[in-house]
Amino acid sequence: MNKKAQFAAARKTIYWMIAGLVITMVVIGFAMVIASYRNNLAKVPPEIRAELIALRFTNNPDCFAYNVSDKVLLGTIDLTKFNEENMLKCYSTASAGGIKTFNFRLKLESSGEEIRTDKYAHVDKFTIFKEVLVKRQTGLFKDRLIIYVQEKIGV
Amino acid sequence: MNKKAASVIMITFEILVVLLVVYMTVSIGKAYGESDQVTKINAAEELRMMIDTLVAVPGDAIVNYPQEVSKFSFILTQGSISVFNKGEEENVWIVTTFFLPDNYQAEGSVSEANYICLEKLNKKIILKKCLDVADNEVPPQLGSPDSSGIYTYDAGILATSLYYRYQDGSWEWSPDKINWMSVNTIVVSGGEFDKEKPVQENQKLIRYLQKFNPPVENE
Repeated sequence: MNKKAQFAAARKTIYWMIAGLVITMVVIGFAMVIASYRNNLAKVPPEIRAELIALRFTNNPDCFAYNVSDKVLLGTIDLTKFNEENMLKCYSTASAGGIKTFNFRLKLESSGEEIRTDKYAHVDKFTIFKEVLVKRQTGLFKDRLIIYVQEKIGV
Repeated sequence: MNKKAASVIMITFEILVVLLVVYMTVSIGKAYGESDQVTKINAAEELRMMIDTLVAVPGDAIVNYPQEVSKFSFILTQGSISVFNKGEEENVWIVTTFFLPDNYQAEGSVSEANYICLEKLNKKIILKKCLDVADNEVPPQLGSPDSSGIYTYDAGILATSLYYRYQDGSWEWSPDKINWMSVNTIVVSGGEFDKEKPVQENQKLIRYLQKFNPPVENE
């Protein structure tokens, strides 16, 4: 084989080595794009999830909702229940490693009273506002419950 | 080999490579498109949200999952819900987690059911098949009506028999055939059983009749 032919053969070999690598990367990249698209199809916005979890704070008497025997006043906060001990009973993240899921800080706007879940680390992602009635010793008072939401931290 | 033959071989080879790449990408796309992974993930997420909502409901409640799910199996445990195809390896199950307040429980498993229900009874959330009747059928446990068109259902020795009738396009129930209540309520108004609620089994029946309102054909 003369030099020119050798050069042509070598050039083809190098070309196909590079082309093979590029084609493999394209195919793998295509598979990853499709997988990512599929994951996005099934993604639930975190705001919706947090909103549904937060429903229990004002509607469930085992959390903070005010109740008189069996009758529960929805959308109320019983101040005698509004503490971190009850928060731990209402929503505990220990089984999921704590920071790997939603954590909350609840604050009553008018009075400034605040409680938080056990792995809350002030890394707020978004905030939910709820108009509530607060049951104090002297009666029911209008207030706003601010729920600071921390999404999962780390992997 | 002459130049022309070599170039024909190269062109053929290149066409084969292109066809191979096209085949691989189409196969990948088809595999992802035909997979029911998205359906399973959606089901797991939606059931999780339903459980969170049930926790927020004071008292008892029952909710249907509206999608037809006969292809899948479900397991509900204290902190998670798993969705999978029958026979699948556990490492490919779709599992989502949730958090229940103290003293709450969650349990249940369903396989090959057309429709599944989540029921909250006291502080227990149960996953189960929905009532196994077609939407427009009178529940078979009511049996046949008497000459006045009244059905009687006996939920056991510890429960008072309840009476049901289909009147003016909707169902009514009564513990004594005197005070009749619409199926929109599960509390007795008037009579010996005033302000009382029927046992769970009858409550389920009442809710079913409220939701589906199966018509009664006149004989």
